[in-house]
Amino acid sequence: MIQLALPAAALLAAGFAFLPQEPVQAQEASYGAVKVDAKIPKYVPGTPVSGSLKSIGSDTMNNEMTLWAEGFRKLYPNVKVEVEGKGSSTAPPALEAGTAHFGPMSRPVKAEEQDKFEKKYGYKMTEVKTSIDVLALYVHKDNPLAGLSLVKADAIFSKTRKGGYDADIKTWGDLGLTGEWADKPISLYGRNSASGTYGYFKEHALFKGDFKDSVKEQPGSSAVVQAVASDKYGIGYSGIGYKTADVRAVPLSKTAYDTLYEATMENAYTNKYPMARFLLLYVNKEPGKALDPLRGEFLSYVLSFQGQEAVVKDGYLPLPLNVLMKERKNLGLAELAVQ
Amino acid sequence: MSESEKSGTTRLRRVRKTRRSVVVIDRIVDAVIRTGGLLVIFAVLGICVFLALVVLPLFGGADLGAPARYALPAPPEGGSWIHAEVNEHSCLGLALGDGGEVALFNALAGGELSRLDLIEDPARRVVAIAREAVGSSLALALDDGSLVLGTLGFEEEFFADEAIPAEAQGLAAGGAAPFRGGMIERVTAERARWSRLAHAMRPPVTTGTVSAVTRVDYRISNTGEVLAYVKADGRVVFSQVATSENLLTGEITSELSEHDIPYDPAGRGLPSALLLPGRGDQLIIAWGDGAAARFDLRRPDEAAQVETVDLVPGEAPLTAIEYLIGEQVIVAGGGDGSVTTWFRIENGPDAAGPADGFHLVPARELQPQAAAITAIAPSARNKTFVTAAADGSFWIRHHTTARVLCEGDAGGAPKLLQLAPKSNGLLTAAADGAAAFWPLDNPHPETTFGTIFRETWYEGYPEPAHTWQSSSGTDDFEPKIGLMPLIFGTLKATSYAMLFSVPIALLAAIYTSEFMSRRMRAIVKPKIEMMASLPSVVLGFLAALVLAPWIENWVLAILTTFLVVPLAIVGGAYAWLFLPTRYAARFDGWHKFVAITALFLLAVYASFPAGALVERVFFGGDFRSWLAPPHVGSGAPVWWLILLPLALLAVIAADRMVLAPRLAQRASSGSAGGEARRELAKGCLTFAAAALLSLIAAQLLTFIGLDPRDLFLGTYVQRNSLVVGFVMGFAVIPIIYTVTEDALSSVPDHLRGAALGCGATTWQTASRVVVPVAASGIFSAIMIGLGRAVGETMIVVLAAGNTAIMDVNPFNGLRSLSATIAYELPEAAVEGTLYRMLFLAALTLFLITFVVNTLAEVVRQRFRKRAFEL
Repeated sequence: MIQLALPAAALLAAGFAFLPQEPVQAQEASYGAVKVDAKIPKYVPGTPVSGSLKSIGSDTMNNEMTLWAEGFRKLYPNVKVEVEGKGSSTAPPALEAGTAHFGPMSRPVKAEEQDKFEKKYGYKMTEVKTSIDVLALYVHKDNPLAGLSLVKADAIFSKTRKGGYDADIKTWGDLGLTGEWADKPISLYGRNSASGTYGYFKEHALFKGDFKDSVKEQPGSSAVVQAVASDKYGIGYSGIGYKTADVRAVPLSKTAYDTLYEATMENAYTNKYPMARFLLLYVNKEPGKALDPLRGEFLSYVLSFQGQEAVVKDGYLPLPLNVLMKERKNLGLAELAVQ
Repeated sequence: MSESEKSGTTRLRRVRKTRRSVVVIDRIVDAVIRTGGLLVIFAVLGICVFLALVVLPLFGGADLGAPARYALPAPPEGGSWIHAEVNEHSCLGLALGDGGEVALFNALAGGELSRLDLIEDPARRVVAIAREAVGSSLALALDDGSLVLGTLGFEEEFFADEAIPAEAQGLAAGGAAPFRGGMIERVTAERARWSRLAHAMRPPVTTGTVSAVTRVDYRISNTGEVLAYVKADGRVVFSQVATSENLLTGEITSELSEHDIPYDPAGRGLPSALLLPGRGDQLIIAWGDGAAARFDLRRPDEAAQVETVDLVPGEAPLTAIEYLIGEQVIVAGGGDGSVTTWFRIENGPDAAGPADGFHLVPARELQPQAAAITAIAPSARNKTFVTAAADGSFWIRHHTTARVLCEGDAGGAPKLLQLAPKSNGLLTAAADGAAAFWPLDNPHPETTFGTIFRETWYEGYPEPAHTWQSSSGTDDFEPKIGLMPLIFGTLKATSYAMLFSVPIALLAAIYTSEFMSRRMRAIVKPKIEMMASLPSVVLGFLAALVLAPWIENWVLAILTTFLVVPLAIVGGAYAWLFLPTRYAARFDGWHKFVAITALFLLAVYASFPAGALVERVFFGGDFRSWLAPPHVGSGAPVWWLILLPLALLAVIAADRMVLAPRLAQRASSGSAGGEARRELAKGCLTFAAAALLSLIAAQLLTFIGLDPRDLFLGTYVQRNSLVVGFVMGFAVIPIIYTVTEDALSSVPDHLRGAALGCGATTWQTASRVVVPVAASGIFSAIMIGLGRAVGETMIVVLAAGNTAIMDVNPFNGLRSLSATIAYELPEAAVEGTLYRMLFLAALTLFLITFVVNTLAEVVRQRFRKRAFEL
């Protein structure tokens, strides 16, 4: 029952996301020794800032935002941070309406969403890369599946099969599993359409095709993992930060002819794993002007050694030094002493 | 008014007058209640009107504004413009000449701003061009057989406050002026935006032989670049550059490959068009006569022609061809003004077709224009596109809805045609350089009554379908906004919940009101009402996380319960008859209640082994495998179970009409024990007869080839309608129960007394006197429960899987209107299409409840009239 309680609470929170969420306990980093590049500058608190910050957007980045907020509040106790994660698509409307300071998104913003924002402000939202996620396909821990190509994943999840696989895949037997698995239908889990993960998976694994109507939409990343954990014949996609011991991330390859790659750090950085992506923060930054100190300091914290350590703690991958420094420069953040 | 008062007035004159204060208060209260009532009516109407107002713009068309007319910059000597477009702010225009020169112009008022050359050698001429609607890739084919590839687009820079240059100082907000070869716009009082050209064209690359490239297509995607071209010597070449970036080192690896495409011109000569999607997995080449060949490029080394089609109906030639955004839909314009759209669908399980498993189908034959189609311009935002004809008319169309959004007339035949990047304007230019920029307001092109409520053929779908997939993370997604699956899901969830809850709630209410002692009722009723206090979100997640996996394991045991429990209760009732009268009377109170409860629990417990037994005997040991295709075993057991209640009713009816009158004479004599034995024997016989009857019917149905798995059952999924039915049923039981119980209790006791006095049993009194009298109240109870179930959101969000399918199968999921609204409203941009669609969903929900309630009220009134007549 204890085991149930946490995902249940997360599911409840995700389903009832109309309320601002309480910080959720971060999960253990689920794989090996991921280290933040020691050359990444450490954050040093500057002039004290105070006020309240609100973030609305990605559910994948929910825990990450919460960890950054907690770390930031340790340095600036007078700052209040509220984190709300209903899905990436909720970020642009919130930034446009001015109800949020940050819009975490697990997919790049659509041109149409930028249009709406630009119409109101005259300039576009600014994108900040914060960390790297390995979007994983999860199966039940007892599932013997060795690996999948994206083209097969498309045939499992999509009704339009734009990946071009020859036949629809309905049962585990279609994927070559034998014994009791052979005749069992594959039970599909996914995210709701507000989710950036949904959009990303659709773009990269479904080759912009359409999901089958039988994909069960879950209101949050942890709900997907929890559903697969409790459904032996299930398969679902979610960020690597939500991995638990009850599920297994399937190694993936781009096409049927390529090598399978595990969802690991090296494979993500070298782009061999086919579904590695940046997790992004969008901000309303006036071009040619510096950010106000509160938001500036927060972003500076995120793009610092401590901020990237929080990324690792949540199970995601930190930014490489060159990317991080480029992001700092783009935002016009004050320089931190490089170690 | 009571009897005593009435009799009082007959003897005495009434002396007391109503006090003035009472009259005043009466008036005030009357006025307050009236106003309150009217306000409620207005509020409800107001909500309805508000919803309708938000929804209405969905069904409007597009508006083409008055054009700004000007002349394009003069083309270089001996040359002409072959491409023109505007930037995303529609202020800066670009014209590309056949000598490789680019001229920037003021797209608002005309006037050249600057000029540059993309090709160094002035002797070369551009013979073919490839330009994507989205993105900035550009390929120019030169007459010496070389290609110039790269990007050409716009970039912008902002100036704030004091930094605003002098040129923009005098501008009002929203104004624009030429500035350093580009355009500067005063976005707001404190900000200005400078738009200018950005280009990165690479040096020319040769294509093997000197023969010129006649057609080219070139696209840049996130996985690399793809290029295809036709050469004057007849070769068709596909080339691909796959790029991948190492994030740690920033190193970019790219892989180049080049392949000759083997094709059969069949005497048609050189292809006149090439279409290559950004993924580079197929290639379409088309000839002037409308013939087109499709090649499978998934393994470029083995590229092969897989099919040929005729893109233009009839004999007319193909005069224009273009991909819509997303590179799925091909729009083909004919010399006769016809516009046909094509996309690729899969061959289907048995149908023969092209070797790669897909084939092109003519999806829509759109309304033809009067003259030959000369140009097609796709939108970079949605499935809108413009077709221009030789007579100067241009029609703005939408692919999904197949409608013409608006029409315009460019005067002469537009040579160049381009939709503005934000799809909010249209640039047309004639051969003589007369250009016009038409502002376009096209907020909801994808919605018509047809796409919302009727089956629509979406790109890549094997056939037209009702589908709901409203949004995605990319712009080239075709929104699928069919409301029918959601309406269906709402009704499905409601019916399964009602199927479960109504019998239980009604019988429970009859039992508490008519059979239970007053003391017990005072205890039981509040307990059941407490069930209603459980928040539905709690029920929802219990259903999703605890109940759904549990039901998945025990599904047959649970279904067996619905057979075993009623049998056990009826059996128990027969057993009770054997009890000597003095004990039966003494144990009538709580003892009986406890006995029934124990019997119920025992029956539930027994259902588990019984379920396992049924599963082994009838369903090959695994019910869920039995449900899933391929269908193994017979469907008869399910028919038997479903027909059993009907058969029972039939047998009982037959017994009433035929057997009972004859048996009645013999029943009058004999002891109580003998009576009980006879009753038991009769009961057993009834059941056996019903079982036999339904068995025969089930075999008959199976014999004629009906299998429930083809009709209303299907694959079992964990989050399904059964779970929703149970949990939502649980949520509405207390409501139906408590209102029904109140209705039954308010039936005057003298009616009961009269019935019992005539010798009716309690059951006869309840079923033939009390229930009919209380029918209007019971009906209201059911309708209130229905109303709650229709609007119920959280249980459905959490437990139903939110799969927008139209399938009555109780073992798969559903997506309801209310759950969709809760799910998708946070992502819907205000006044966007999805936002308005969700309001339409709300309006639909509103109308469903309105219709149901109105019908219910009409029926209730009739019941009430009948009850009053008693």
